[in-house]
Amino acid sequence: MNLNLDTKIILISGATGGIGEGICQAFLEEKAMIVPLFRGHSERLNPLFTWMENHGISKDMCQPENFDLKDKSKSKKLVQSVLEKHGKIDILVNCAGKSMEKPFLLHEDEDFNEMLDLNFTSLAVLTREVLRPMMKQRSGSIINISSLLSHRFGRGVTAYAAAKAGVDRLTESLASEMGKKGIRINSICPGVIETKMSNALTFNLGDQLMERTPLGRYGKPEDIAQACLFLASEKTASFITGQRFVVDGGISLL
Amino acid sequence: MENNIFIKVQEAISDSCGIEKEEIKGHSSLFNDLNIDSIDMVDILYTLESEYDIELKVSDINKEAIQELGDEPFEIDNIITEKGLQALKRKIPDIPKEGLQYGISVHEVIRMISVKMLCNMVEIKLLEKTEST
Repeated sequence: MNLNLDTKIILISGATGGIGEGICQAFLEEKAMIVPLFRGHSERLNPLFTWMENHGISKDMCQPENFDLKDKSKSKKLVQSVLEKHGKIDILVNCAGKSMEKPFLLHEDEDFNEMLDLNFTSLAVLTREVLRPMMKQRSGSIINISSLLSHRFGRGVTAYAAAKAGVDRLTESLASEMGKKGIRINSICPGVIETKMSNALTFNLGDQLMERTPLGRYGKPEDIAQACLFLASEKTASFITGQRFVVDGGISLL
Repeated sequence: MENNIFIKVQEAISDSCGIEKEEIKGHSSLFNDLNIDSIDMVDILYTLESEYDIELKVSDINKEAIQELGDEPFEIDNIITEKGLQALKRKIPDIPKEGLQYGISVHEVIRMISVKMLCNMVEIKLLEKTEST
């Protein structure tokens, strides 16, 4: 099925993480041009460039920007720079995030700040800056990568879960504000996905969690990436906004 | 120059809200007469910011009055003080005076913004930009 994403410009934060990289690959396979955000050394994007080479995708389709999401005051400049280079931003995927496993009573003040800053505030600021040109275009799709922990489970990850709950509520509230400007906003709540970020969790729990998951396996980055394509495309999701999509193999049914 | 700004503001409002340009007069209140909402306002300001390479904030409307008051409070618990109201009358001659009664909030003043006042905000920002270069 042609998702009509081949002329689109996709801005992706957290592009060097496991899920982020999967999302980059999925959009590239749809012939979209991606602008992945990375922090620090550009070598972090080497696995993606190698994958592109192996799949015969031109390097030109990936136009990375070195940007630290914590530098919120520079978000406006980043968006301006992307607009100058590429003329528009059709889709924003907010995939950057960081979890913290720690009992609530051991959280330091700065832990709360860090969790909120990385998972919520920086996402909100980047979204605000991207929305301005999207409003002019009268179109756009924003996909926030949230977490199953935003509304289920969450023992030992309280601050992270609360920040992700904020992302879901932001998604819902913003969608009702932006609908009349032709902009759709949705969130995806992944369950356990096989990435470096979830390695510790899956290692600690062994096969217990997998056995309890109705679909009998952990998720893969491409499971999230495909949900992302679905929500990004006007062909498949033009009437969907303000929704929370759980992609968890059914574990939240327990 | 002034007329040119008015035309651009008129275009920005028309494009953002689908209102016929002829209906957009200098004295039209954006929120009350033209029925725009705060999202439209962000859209209009972004268009003008891009057009003139300036930064506009709705709160700029009170800026000069606040500056004039110095250490005196402009508002207490979001209600504009008597001195704040006087300063607004002096600094924003186009604001409808009958609306500036004690008890109004900062938000209500923002809702009084007219097309002409928006043009003035752009003009002031352009002057500031020229002076700083």
